[in-house]
Amino acid sequence: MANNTHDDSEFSAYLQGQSPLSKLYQQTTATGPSAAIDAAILAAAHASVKKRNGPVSPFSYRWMVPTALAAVIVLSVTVVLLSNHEQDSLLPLPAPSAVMSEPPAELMAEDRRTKQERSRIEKNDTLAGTNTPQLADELKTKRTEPVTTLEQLPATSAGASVAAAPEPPAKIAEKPLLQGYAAPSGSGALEKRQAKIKEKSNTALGTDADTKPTPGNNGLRGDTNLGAVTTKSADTWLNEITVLLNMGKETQARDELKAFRKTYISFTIDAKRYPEINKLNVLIEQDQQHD
Amino acid sequence: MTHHESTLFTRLCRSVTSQAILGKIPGIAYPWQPMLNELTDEQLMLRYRDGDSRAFELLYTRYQRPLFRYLQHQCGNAAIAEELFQDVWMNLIKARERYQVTASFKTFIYRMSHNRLIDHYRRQRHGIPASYDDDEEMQNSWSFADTITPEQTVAGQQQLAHMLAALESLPEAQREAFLLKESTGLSLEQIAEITGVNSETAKSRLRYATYKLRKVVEL
Repeated sequence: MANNTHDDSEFSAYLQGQSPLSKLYQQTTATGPSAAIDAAILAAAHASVKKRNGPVSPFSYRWMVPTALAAVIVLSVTVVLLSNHEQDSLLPLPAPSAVMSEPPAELMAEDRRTKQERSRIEKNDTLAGTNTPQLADELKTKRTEPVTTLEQLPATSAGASVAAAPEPPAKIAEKPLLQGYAAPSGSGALEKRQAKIKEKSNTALGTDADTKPTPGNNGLRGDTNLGAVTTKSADTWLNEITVLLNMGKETQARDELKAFRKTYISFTIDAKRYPEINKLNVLIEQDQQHD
Repeated sequence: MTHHESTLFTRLCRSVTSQAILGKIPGIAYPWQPMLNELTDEQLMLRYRDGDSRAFELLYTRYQRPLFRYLQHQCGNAAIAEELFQDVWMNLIKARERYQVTASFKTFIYRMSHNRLIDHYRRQRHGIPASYDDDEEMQNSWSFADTITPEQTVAGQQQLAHMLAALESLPEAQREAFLLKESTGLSLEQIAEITGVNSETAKSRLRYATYKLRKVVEL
C-alpha cells in the first residue's frame, strides 16, 4: 500500500516534469538524420511548392501584394481626380431634367407645332387689336368655333416625320391651342391635350420640381412646359404681355408679369420700350406693398 | 464614372485593402505581419500549404531532431529510423494541400509517425508487437538483461547507459509512451490520441515504463 502511494507520488512528479528520470533522458545526445535525408526532404518540399506555384522571385514574394495595392490606389486616385477635373472644366450644364435626354420626337413635334400656331395667332391678334376691326371680328369668330378634339385630329404616326409634315391651314385655324384664346367649349379638349403632353414629357424627363407649371405657364405661353429647355426669352415674354395689355386682358397680363418677375428676378424692364408694362409693374409693386 | 460605378469601385477597394491588411489572401507574406519564426507550427503549416516553402524549412528545423530521436529510440536502428523519418516527411509533403487545423501540428505529425511505425512493425516477421494489445500480463512482463558496454561505463555515463539499455528492453507500446512524453513534452491526452488508445491506457503504459526505468537506474 505504502509502495503504491510512493509510486503514485513519483508518477505525479514525473508527469509534472520534476522527475530525475526526465532529466536523465534529456542528457541523451539528440542526433539528427543524415544530411542526405535532410536535403532530399527539403528538395521534395520545394519541388512540391514550385510545381504548383512556379518560380517566385524574392522581391515579388514579400512585396508583391503591397506594391500591387499601392499601384491600384495611386491609379484609382489619379482617375478620380482627372474625372473631377474634367467635370469642373465643362460648361455649366442646364437643369438635370433637361440634361438627362432629349424629349421624344413626338413631343418635340408637338412643341414645334404649338409654337407655330402661337406665333400665327399672335400675328392675327396684332392685326385684330390694331388694324381693321372687321378682320379682328373674323378672327374672334374663328376662335369661338368648337375646338377639334384629339380624336378628331387625323391619325398620325409618331416621330419626326409628323413634325415635318405641314398641316392644312384650315385645320390649324380650327385648333387654337393656347388656353387664353380658346373658346370655353374647346378648352377642355385643349387642356386634355396639354395634360397629355405634360404627362409624356414628365415620363420622358423624370418628375422634377423644375418641370412643374408655374402660374404663368398656363396662360399666354402655352408651351409644352419642358422645363428649362423651353423658357422664353425676356423680350418675347414682354412682347406677349404687351399684346395682352393691348387686348385689354389686364388680369392675364398681370399674372404673366408676375410669372415673368419670378423667372427673371434681376431683369430691369426698360420703361421707354415697355411703358405699359412698366406702369403695370408699378401697380403690382404697389399692390404687394399694400398687401 | 457614374455614382453606381464609383460606389462599386469604392467597395472593391475597401474589401481588397481590408483582406490584405488582415492577411486573408493566402500564400502571401506581408511586411506588417509577424516574422516566420514568430508563427506557430499550425500557422507555418498553413503557410506551407499555401505555397510558402520557407515555412516548411522552419517547421522541419523545429521537428527534425525530436522526431528522429523518437523514431530511433523506438525502433532501435538508425537506418530504419532514417527510412521511417523520410517517409513521414514525404507523406506530410504529399498531404500538404489537404491540411486543415483540426489538432495541433505536433499531434498531427507524431500521429503520422506512429502510423508509419505500426506499418513498419506489420511488415516485420513478428507483426505488430503484442505490447500494443494492452494485456495486463503483457504490461507487467519484462526481462531486462543489463548489457552495458565498458566504453559507456568508462565515459562516466553509467546511469544514462543503464537507462537507454532499459528503454530498449521495454515493451514497444510502453517505450513509445515514454518517448512521446520525453521527446515532445506531450500530455497524456495527446499521447492517447497519437497512439489511438484512451487516456487511461496511455497513462498505464507510461506508468509501467517509468516504474521499470526507475528500477533499473535506481533513482
